[in-house]
Amino acid sequence: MKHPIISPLWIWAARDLMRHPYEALLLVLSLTSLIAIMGAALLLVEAVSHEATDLLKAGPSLVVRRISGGGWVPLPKRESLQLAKSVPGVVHARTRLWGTVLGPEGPVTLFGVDQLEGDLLLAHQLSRRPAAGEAVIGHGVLSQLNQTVITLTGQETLNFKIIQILEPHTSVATHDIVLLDATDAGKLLGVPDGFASDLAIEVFHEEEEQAIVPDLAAAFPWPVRITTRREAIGSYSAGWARLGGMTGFILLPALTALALIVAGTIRDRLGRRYEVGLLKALGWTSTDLIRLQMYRAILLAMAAAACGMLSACLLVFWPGSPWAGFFLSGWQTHPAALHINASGAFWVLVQISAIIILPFLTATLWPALKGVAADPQDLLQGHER
Amino acid sequence: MKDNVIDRGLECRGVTLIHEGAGSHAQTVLQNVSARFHAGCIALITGVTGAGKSSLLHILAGLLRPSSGTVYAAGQPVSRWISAYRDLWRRKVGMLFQNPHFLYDLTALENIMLPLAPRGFDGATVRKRALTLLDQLELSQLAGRNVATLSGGQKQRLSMARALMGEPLFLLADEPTAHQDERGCRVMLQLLQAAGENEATVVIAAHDARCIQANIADDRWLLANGQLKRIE
Amino acid sequence: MIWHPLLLAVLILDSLSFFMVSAAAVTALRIVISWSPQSAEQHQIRLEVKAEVASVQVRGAGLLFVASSVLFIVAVSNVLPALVPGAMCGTGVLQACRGLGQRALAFRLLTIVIVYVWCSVDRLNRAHPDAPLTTVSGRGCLLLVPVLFLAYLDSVRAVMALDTHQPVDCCAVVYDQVRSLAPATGNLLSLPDAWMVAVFLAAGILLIVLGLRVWRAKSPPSSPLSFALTGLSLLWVPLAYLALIRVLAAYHYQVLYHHCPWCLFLADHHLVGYPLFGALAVTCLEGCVLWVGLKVARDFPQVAIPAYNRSQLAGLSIASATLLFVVLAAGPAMLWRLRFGVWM
Repeated sequence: MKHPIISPLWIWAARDLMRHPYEALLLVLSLTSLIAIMGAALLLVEAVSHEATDLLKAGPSLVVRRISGGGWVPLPKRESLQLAKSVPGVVHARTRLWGTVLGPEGPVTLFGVDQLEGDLLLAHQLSRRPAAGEAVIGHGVLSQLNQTVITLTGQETLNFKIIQILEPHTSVATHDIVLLDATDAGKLLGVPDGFASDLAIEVFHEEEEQAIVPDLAAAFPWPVRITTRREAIGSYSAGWARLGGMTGFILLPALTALALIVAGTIRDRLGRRYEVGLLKALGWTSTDLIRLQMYRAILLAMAAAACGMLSACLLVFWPGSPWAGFFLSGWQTHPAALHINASGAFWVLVQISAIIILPFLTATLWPALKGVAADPQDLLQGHER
Repeated sequence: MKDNVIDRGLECRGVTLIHEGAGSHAQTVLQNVSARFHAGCIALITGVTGAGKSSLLHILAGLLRPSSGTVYAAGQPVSRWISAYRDLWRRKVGMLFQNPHFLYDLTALENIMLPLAPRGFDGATVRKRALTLLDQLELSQLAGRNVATLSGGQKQRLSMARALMGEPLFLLADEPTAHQDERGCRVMLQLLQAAGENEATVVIAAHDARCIQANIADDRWLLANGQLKRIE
Repeated sequence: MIWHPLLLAVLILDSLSFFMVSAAAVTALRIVISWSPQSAEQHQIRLEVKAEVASVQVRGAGLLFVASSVLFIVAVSNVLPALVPGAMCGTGVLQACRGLGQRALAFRLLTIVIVYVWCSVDRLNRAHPDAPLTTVSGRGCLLLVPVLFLAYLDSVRAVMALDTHQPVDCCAVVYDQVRSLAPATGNLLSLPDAWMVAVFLAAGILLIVLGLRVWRAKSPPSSPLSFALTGLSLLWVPLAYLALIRVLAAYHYQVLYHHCPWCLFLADHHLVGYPLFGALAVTCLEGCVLWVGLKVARDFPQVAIPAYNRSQLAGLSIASATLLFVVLAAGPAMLWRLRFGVWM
C-alpha cells in the first residue's frame, strides 16, 4: 500500500472534530477571542514601539531639561545654547518649546514653531508655518475634523484657526499634536519669552551619547536631567511592553479557565473510555491516540490562530478602526495609522504561541495521556451494546 | 497439524485469570491454561456460556493481561511486554467481538477503515480494500449507513470485515455465527477458513452448534471450570 | 520587574514544564520504590501504564523547557537590551538582573543536559519490549525535579529583579570578567593566544576525526576510543568557548579586545551566537549521550545494539557540531588573514 506524505490521521482528526461540531466551534470561538485580544494588544505595542523607535532614532541624541524641586522649569534659550555648545563633542544644539495642554477632547501635545527647521520631523508635511492665532493639528486631536477653530486651555484659554490637519499616515507621534506659533505656545504653556522647554543636542557619534552626559550636566549652572536617545527609546518601549505584558497577565485567568474547560472536555470525552478501548483493540497505539488528540487540538488552534490574528490585525491596522487604541491606551479620537512589520508580527505570533497555544495544547494532551495507556479490555468493560 | 509453521502461532503457558470482585471476593476465570494454536490452523474452543472463552480470547488478543502465565506469539512473550509494544503487536491481530463494538456515529465504511487509519496508508487504497471486504460480506449497500441503524447480524459481519482489514496474522473470533442466518453463517465460516488457508492463526470461541457442525476446525478445545482441554 | 510579554511567555512555559515533570516525578518515585517487571499484579500493570504516561510527560516538559530557554536567550540577547538603559547586549541585561540571570542560565543549561540524557535513556528503554531501563529512567526523572525547580525559581527571580530604571555598563562587566578569569583558570589562560587557538584547533580536528571513527566503526565502537571522545568533547567545550571569546570574537566584531559572548547574538553580528553556542551545546550533550550509551550497552545487554547505534550517532553529531563551530568561529579570522595578510 502507498504511504501518503501527510498522515491520514489529520483527516481522521478533522472527521473526529466534525462528530462534535458545536463543541469544536465553541472551543475555536473562545480561543479565537483570547488570541484576538492578546494579539491586538501585542500588535499595538509592537507597531507603536516600532514607529516610536523610528521616530526617536530620527530625533536628537540628547535632550536636556532643567529641573527644580517642583519638577521641570523652562531654561533660558540663549544661555543654554551657549553653555551646551561649549561642551566638547556637541555638534549642534537647539531649543524646543513644547508641553501638554487641554484640547477640546482631552490632552494634546503642543509644539511652538518659530521657524520650519530640520528638527521638526514633519516640516515637509506643512504647507506653511502657523502664524499667530493659527494652528496645525494632528489627525487624532478632534473627532469632528470639519471644525475650523480649536480651543486650547493651558495657562489661559485661547482659540485658534485650524489651517491644516496632518495626514494620519504622517507619523504616530503627530497623532495628538498641535503646532502653534512660538509666542502662542509660550502663552499657553506659561513659558516666558526667551525661554524654552528643553534643549535638543546632537553629538558626532552614537557611542558618545552616554559619554558626554557628565560633561554636559556639569556645564549648566542649574540642575538638569539629560536623556539619551537610547534611554528615551528604552523607556518608551518599556512602557508599551508593560502594556503588552499586563494584558497577558490580565488574560491569564481567562486562559487558565479555557485550559481547564478544554482539559475537562477532553477528560469527559476520554471518560467515554469505550472509544479509546475500541481503537486500541483495533490496533491503535497509545501514540496514535495521543497524536489524534494533538492533531485535533492543532487543527482547532490553527483555525483559532488564523481567525484571532486576522481579527487582531483588523483591530489594530484597519484604517479608522478605533477599538484596540481605545481599549488598550485610551485613545479617544481618531486612531493613529499604524503599519504592520513582518518581524514584529512574527514575534507576536511566537509570543501568542507560547502564552496561549502551547498551554492549550498541553491542556489537551494532559487528560489524553491519562486515558490512552490503559489496557483495551479495561476501557471496553461495561460498555457492550 | 502443520509443524513447519508452529513458531508463528499463538501459545499460552500457565495462564490464570482472576477477576477481582467486590470486597475480598475474587473469581478464578481461567486456571493454569496452556495451549498451542498453530499458524495456518483453525482452533475451535467450545464451552458453556460463562466458561471464560471470551476472556481467553481477549488474553490471546492482548486486550487483557493474565493474572499469571504468559502468552507467546511467534515465540515472543507478548503478554509480558510493555503497553507500547503490545499496542504494536495488536496490529497483527484481528478480533471479532461477541458483542460488536463500533463508533456509532460513524458510517459502516468508516468503522471498518478504522484499523488502518493510523498506519499511514493511502486513503484511497484503504477505502478500496474496505469496499472489497464489504462486498465479500454482502454489505456493500450498507457502506454509507450509520452503524446504529444496522441489525445484529449485519453488525457481526461488519465486525468480521473490520477484523480482516489489517490482514491479520492472528484472527480471533468470538461467536462469529451469532445472529446470522444460514447464508450469513456460511459466509462467515468461509472467510475464517480462507484466513486459515492464508497461514493466519485462527481461534474461534463458539457454542453455536452450526459452528461446531461445520467441521472447519483443525483443533478442538473444551473450556470448562477454568481448564482448557483438547478434544482428540 | 518588567512585564514584557516575552518574559511572560518564558514563565508560562517554565510553569507548564515544571508542572509536567512534577507529575511525572510522582510516578518515578513509585517506580524506584516498587518496580517489579516480572510481576503480573494489578499494581505493576498500573505502574507500567503510569510509566508510559510519565515518559510522555517528561518528553513534553523537555520540549516546552527547551522552547522557553530559547525564548529566554532571545529575550536577554535581542529584546531586553533596548529596554535596559546602558545595555548594549545580553551582558547588560544580565547585569540588570542583579546576577540572577547567570544563575538561571546555568541551571537551565544543566536542566537541558539532564533532560537530553534522560530522553536518550528513555528512547533506549523503549527500544525493548521489557523496558529494562525503567528504574534508571525513574531515577533520572527524580534528579531532574530539583534542578528544574532551581532553573524555574532563578528564572522567576531574575525576571522579578530585572531593573529597567538603573543604568548598567555592559563593557565594564565584560572587562571585569575577562580580568578575573586569569587567576581563576591559572595556566591555561596564561597561554599566549596563539597557543590557545592552536590547542583549540588541534583538539577540534582530533574530535572530528574521533567522532567520524566512532560513527563509521563496523563493530561496536571500542570503549577506550569512545570514552576518549567523550572526555575530549567535554574538555574541548570550555576551551573552545575561551578561544572564541578571548581571540576569535575580535574577528567577528572587528574590534580588538571586545570579549563579550552576548554581542555575538546581536543582529549586527548576523546572530552568529545562536549557531556557535548551539554547536557547543550539541557537542557537550552528545558527549554525555555517547558515554551514557556505552554504559547502557555494557550494563543492559537487552538494549546493547540500539545503545551502540546511539553512541555511533553521537560520534557523528559531535563531529558535525565541532566542524560547524570551528568553521563559524575561525572562518572570519581566516578571511581577515587572507584579506589583510596579518592577524589582528
